[in-house]
Amino acid sequence: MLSPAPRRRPPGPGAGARPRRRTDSVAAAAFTSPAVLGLTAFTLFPLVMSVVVSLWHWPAFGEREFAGLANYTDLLTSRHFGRVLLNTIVYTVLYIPLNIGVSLGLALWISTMGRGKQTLRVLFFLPVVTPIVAQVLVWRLIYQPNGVIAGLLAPLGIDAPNFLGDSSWAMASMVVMSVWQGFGYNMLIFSAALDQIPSSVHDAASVDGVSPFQRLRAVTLPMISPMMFFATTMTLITSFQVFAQPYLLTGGGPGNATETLVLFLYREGFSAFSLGSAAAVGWFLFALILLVTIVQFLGQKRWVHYDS
Amino acid sequence: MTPEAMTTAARPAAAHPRRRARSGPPGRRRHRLRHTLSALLLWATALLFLSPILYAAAVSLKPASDVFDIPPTLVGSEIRWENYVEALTYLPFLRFIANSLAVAGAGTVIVLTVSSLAAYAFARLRWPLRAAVFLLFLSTLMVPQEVLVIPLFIEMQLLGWVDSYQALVLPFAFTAFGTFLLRQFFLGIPAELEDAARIDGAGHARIFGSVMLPLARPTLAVLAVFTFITFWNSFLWPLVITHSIYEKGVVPVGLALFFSQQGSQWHLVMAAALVSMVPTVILVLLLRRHLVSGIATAGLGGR
Amino acid sequence: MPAPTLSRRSLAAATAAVTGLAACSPQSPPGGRTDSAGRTTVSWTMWSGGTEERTSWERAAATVTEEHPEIGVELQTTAFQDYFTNIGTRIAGDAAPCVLSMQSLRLGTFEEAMLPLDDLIAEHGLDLSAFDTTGLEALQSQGRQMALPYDNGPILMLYNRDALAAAEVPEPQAGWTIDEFEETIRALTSGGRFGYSAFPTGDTMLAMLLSFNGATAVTEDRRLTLDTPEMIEAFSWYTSLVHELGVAPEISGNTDVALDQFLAGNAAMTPTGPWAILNVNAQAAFEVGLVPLPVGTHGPATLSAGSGFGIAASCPVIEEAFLAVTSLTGPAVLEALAAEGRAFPSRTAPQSAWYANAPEGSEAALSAALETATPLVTTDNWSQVADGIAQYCGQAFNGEKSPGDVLALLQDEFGG
Repeated sequence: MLSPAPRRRPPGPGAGARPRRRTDSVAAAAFTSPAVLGLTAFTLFPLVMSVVVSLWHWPAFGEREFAGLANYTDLLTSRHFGRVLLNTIVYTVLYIPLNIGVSLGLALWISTMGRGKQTLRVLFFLPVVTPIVAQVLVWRLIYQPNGVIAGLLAPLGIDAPNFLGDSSWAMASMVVMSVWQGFGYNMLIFSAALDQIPSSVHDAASVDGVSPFQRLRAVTLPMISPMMFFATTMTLITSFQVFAQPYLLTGGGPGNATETLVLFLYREGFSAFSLGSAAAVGWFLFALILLVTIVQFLGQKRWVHYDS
Repeated sequence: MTPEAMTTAARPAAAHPRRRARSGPPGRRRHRLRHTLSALLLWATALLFLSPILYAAAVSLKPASDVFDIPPTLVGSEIRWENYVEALTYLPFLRFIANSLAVAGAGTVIVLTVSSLAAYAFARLRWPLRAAVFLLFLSTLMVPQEVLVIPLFIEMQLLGWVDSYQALVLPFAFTAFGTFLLRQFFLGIPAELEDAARIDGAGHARIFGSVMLPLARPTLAVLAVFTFITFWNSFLWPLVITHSIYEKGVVPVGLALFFSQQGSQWHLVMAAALVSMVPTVILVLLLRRHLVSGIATAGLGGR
Repeated sequence: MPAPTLSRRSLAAATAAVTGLAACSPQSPPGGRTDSAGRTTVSWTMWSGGTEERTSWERAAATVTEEHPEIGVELQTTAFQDYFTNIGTRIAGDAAPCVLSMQSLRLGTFEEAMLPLDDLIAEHGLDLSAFDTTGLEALQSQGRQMALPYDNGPILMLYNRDALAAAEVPEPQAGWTIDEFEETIRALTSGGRFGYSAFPTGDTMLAMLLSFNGATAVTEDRRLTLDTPEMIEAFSWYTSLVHELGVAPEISGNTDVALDQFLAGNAAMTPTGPWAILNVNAQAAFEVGLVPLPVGTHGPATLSAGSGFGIAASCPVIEEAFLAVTSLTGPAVLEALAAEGRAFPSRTAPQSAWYANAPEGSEAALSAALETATPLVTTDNWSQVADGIAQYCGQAFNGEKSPGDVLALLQDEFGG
């Protein structure tokens, strides 16, 4: 999967003259050293520190004592943590299909336009560009009781629910806001994939009298499935890490309806200042992401078509 | 439908029935009508999707007391363009924007440089343990920033970099995303180009600089846009590491200052937020041609 | 093979470094230093919003140098909502400032990292009688003075005089009862506007609950007591204002917008403390009135809170830091802050400067409230409790969960 071999064209006529390269270790060391040094200094080193910290009871002020795996077992037996884990999974299960659906749908729709494609893509990308702090504030005003949505529904005689204050609506409201904010990236990715489908494919399909829907299912989607795989995997990873929305929009409430893993981590670390426990939560998160990504990679054989 | 079709830089345009519908029998004309309706609907959808931003703009022009009007209004009792001036003087917001520009700019340059160098090594050089190290790189992508924040803070403290510009830039200038993206792209470059240069006597440095990089322009543009936006909107790390906010604060941290113990300035926040969008929007507009092609030519499909 | 070995080596180094971290101190002690010319720079953290606010704190810092030429103050400000996270992180990372601004509500959390000031006060012969006793008490813990106060005040009720006049409702007077309060806000709720605006907070809401029937959330020895019968009764009444009587807007999200609703004219009454009053008065498009909280079954009562400046235990220049603190809480600075409305001063003398810019009737209201005010004592995990209150109480306000259940949950989670 990682080897570039299938990509390489067989050597051309000058094959005999092509020098056989020995390993490029020296060059490789030179080229990769900035990245490796940087990653080691700023990711691996803190990561290791975080593992060590997770094995201690590490309050901000006061005694630090070794705790072994106590932080981890405490989390596993905590009902609060279980709920937080569930919330994160629910969020992801709601978010991914909606995000992929919206971005794919819009990408397909835009690709049927002639001119204006680029403008439309930029316009739909704009929510990504807005600072998250500002977005949350605007959506707070929009979701308020007596806010914009309530104001729009009132003349129709509909009593708008309390989007952020009602437990049955809070998670969905947060998902909608997140999709609005994040779908732009995937829309660009799918647009790129769709642009790459040669016109011959479309022409062939329409000549055969295939309906647009069938064409979509049997031809278009399989052809862009590698991109879909990439988009789904990256979106999965980021959706498990959702933080700014629950932190700024609902504070995890009402109750703990919208309290997600990273919000919980942040509170353990910066509100309770229980750094060891926060580090342990981080590792749970990492394990979860790793697990899901592996499942994705294993499952790709079933639905991703690299050659058509 | 070979892998080549997915990896070449050529952009075969998506076929379009409209091309055949330019003139012709009524059936085609109906098709054209449907298409125009579809286009109108799409533009209306775009407007709908942009409405929160438009609402933010509306709020930014309201006087403070009209922000929470019941029922909510688009226009307040007066249109206050002065809000924009007030927002920029209530806080040294232009300085925050300048700080963000410096941090995001420096960060983007570093990311582009470091990632392309590493990507070349992963894609075009042969060396032992290459696959394992690449996997290590990839796995760092799964580590959420929040896990690293506290150890990173302690590390910055050890280095004496707390409350400094380098602390804002460097810790996140080495993420593996760029390396991943560019490696995929470099993998797709035909070997002949490289061989030709090598026959001319070029070493790795020259191949990298004169052959690989120029071809990678669209993908580099995409990486630049994504990286810039990530730095620009980064919120938790600057919050933790910046202490002299009025001198070194960046935009998201600055926006929080509009909410104080003595009242919140919603209308000014909206104005400031819209102003802070300008640099990123300009960047997107400048590089919009490459946004899609840069992803396409990275050929993320055929791994 | 550079990469793997590098990782292994750095792993070993990292483990060694980290285990030594606990005892390790950074190169140059943060918080303060004395240079060769004998001039000491002391760092001071404070919360601040806009430039105007920042400027007044800078002036206060300059006053320190005026009064003590060999001391310079380096001011570092953060937004209020992030302030305690910020200093918590700094203390955890051994990068604490010398002079620490502290709210009485957070004293429980941070007192371990602060230096008791009693010895320094005695040493320097500081006269504490010029200070408001409630202010001093608010910043005491276990009998030790942990910080000197610059501002202190009781929670009061703000009301919209124009709205009351328009609805022909008589203005409340000190000593008005809970029943009169309910009548008033009911009369003011009409046409989409509400009579009152509530939000679950650790200060204004608890003050209202105390006023209702004397229910306290925290005991004298800093234990959380949220699920006592009195608390449940008071909380049930308070939440019924929203979901049963409909006299206050629904609660949504976790930002306290009660004051915003008041300023927008959507709610005619809301409780707040003196730290916000002059600002509200300046911003309001209507006339603002002040009155102590309505009296319940336990007699007149309200909570007071305040803020002051303390010294971090890690400060290397304690003497100079203390002199800075005395200047910052001195008559000159407090007079300036009072005139700007930035603080209701904790020294009795400058209080008249505050009244000069305050709404009509504030002096009477504040004095009446101060007489019945008790400092809000908090637990040492108050940040989490306050977050929890904002996060969980909404469900009681919108009728989803019973008030008793919510309080029991909070007590379970944060008590003990």
